[in-house]
Amino acid sequence: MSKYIIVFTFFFCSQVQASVYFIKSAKVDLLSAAEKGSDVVATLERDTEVKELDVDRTWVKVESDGKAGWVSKIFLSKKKSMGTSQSLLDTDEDLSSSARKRASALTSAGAARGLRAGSDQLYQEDGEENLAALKIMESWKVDDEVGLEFLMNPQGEL
Amino acid sequence: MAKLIKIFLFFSFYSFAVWADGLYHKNSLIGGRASGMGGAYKAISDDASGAFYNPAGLVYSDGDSISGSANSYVSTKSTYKETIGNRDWERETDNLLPNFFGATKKFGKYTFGFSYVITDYMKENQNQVFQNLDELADPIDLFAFNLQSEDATYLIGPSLAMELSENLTFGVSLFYHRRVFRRSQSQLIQFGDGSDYSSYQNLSKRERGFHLRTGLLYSLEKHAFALTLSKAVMQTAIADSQANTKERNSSATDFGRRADVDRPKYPYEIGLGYAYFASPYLLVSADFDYYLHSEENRRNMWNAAVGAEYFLNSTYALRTGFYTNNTNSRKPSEIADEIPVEYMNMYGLTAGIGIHSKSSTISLGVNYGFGSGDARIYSSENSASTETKRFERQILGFLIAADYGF
Amino acid sequence: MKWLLLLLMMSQAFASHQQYRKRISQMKVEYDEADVLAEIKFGRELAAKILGKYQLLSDQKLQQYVSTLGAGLAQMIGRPELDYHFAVIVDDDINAYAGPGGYIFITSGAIALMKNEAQLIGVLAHEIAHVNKRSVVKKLKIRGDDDSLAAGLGVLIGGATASYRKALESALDKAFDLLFEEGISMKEELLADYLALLTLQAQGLNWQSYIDYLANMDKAIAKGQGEVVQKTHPPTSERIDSLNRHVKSWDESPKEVNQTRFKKYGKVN
Repeated sequence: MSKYIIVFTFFFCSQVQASVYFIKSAKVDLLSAAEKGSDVVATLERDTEVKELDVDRTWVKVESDGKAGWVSKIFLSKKKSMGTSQSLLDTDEDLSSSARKRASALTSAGAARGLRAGSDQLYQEDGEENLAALKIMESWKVDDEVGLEFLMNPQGEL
Repeated sequence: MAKLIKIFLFFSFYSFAVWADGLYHKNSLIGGRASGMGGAYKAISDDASGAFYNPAGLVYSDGDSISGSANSYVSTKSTYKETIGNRDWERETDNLLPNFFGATKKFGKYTFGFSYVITDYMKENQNQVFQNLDELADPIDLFAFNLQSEDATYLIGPSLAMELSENLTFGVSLFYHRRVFRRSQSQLIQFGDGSDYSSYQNLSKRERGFHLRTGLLYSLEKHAFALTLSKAVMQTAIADSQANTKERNSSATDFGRRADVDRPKYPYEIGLGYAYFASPYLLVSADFDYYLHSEENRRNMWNAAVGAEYFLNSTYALRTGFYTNNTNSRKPSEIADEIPVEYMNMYGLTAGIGIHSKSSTISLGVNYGFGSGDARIYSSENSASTETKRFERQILGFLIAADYGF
Repeated sequence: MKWLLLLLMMSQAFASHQQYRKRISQMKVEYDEADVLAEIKFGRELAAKILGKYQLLSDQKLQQYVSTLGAGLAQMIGRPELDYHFAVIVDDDINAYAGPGGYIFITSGAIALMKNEAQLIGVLAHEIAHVNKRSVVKKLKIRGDDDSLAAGLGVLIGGATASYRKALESALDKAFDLLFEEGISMKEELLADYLALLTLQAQGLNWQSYIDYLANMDKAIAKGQGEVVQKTHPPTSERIDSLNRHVKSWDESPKEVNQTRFKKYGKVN
């Protein structure tokens, strides 16, 4: 009998692993049923840790901070996020200095965009690459909150 | 008079053959990570150096890799007490050499390796002059002595490892073994009475053969168990020596030449290893080796090692280890008087750091070895006494290694 | 029988040993900040190259519509460390391109084929899924500099050198080929379609409409409007079949397609 107990312990030790996920999207509603349109139990933010309770096809029932509800599996990730583009952005960085900065790998996303000043002359304005158009495209970036609101609300206007 | 004879015979034809002549099995710690851990690596063995420690571990190597070069600087100091008259005799050597280079490649369930290992290396260069040895009954005005020797054992060859089951792996390395030993020494003694003695001796030995290393590795959750078996077999071995001597009482120089085949028998090495992967930060290991010797004047013996590795964070790891490096020589009392003997067991302490980055690791380490024992450094052929003298040895080595993953 | 069960249970327990062998240094993140910056830098170059070939559509309202929807979707299913950028380019061909760093292009031909917002959301989600997968980045091995001492010494000992400019130029050419000639893997295209459908379902939108869009694309390709998409994607019929297999177990598709808004902003002029 004792050897069965030992084996069972081994077995369960290796099996016991409650699935833990993190919320991938900026904001997600915990729904009372596996269907968009059902009541909202709670709203969770990015990187919130949740525990899986149940699965129904493409929906997962999770529990966080005492509240339980359904989310689409597309909103769950096994890992935490790396942080937003804001955390990569160091707006105080002096972009005018042309010396190639190797001090830290954490230079900024902004610097990456403006790196033309300091980097090797990679850009060639010979018709092969259109930097003016690129700048225009980048200027069309919409605020995260505005975009999310617009998406969530079908009646929203530009 | 007896003391005088001893000085002569101290530098007799056979005297230094003993020093690095296959007496030890742990003279060279290879691999950045393994050597930081005292070489207790059989149950870990999951990088290119695994080709040597336990080829079965290669299955667990992290992708394809090249283990850059492991360079070690070794300084050795041996002190033979009261040997020259009443003085201690110290020998110091230092070496800078690469001792390991290896690569691994994975192909599905198989892992291939290729490596180059220097398992033993000794280089010595001595120029000593003793003057006015008046305490002797037969005083000596000048005693000049010069010695150059080099002894290197290389292994080079492929390895293959495979999974036998989910928990069990097997590996084998087949090395081409080559050893080259060269020694030349000259002496000049000018006696107080005006007579002199001089000699020049030159000895070279070459051996070639194969060295097979195999192993099994069994893993069970956080534990790993290793079993290894190794054996080297020599195909050819040649020893060639020359000696010129001008005796004290003669004005002529005698010339002698000798060549013989001297195929050494290497032992069967049976090894056991254990590793406990306590957490992603901490790892402890222990190895045990048993050597079955069949050569005359050598005995069966064992070695053991323990090691630990602790990660401070995902970049820096600290390593430490302790190992034995026992001699396989029989005790002086068990060996015929004509044969010089060095009998000493050594111990070693290691410490090291690993610096890990995305695709490469640099290892730095230090290895301190020490021991004391008895030496019968002159044969009884021409001596009435077969006194043994105490001697000590300290070895300090530094290691730098690089590993590259793809 | 008892012993068989025992053995089975034991093998379950023993199977996990490989995870314990891994040291903390081996548990690397898939990519870090330096990799992301390298990706963004590369993505800009590639986007500039694409814009050298295609013109931006001048319809400002449409561009804003696409960018706003895209920004919202990026918040929902995109990588938070990136800023996604969207643009409609002038091309009768029906296609969309997802460049590294989050630079996403949709052709005017594709927009013209769409009938409602759900379809547009589907296509945008499909492209965002490609950016999330980082397949161009992985295929071209675009990585951040490893500034650490170890890597520097490793380079010294290993003697490795990189000719950055040459490498970048050839990488750009290769990326361009991937987007316009070869395509990323077919398997990944099908996966992106599936993620588009999941996104629509999560939004309570008409996911069936995305499948309808693929069917319309099929017809348009037959008429000659799919030169690039044919080269770089699986046959549309295969895409539709794959999605139909996925949705077999799903509840019926909602009907909501946000038609009103699409009528207002989504027409190509």
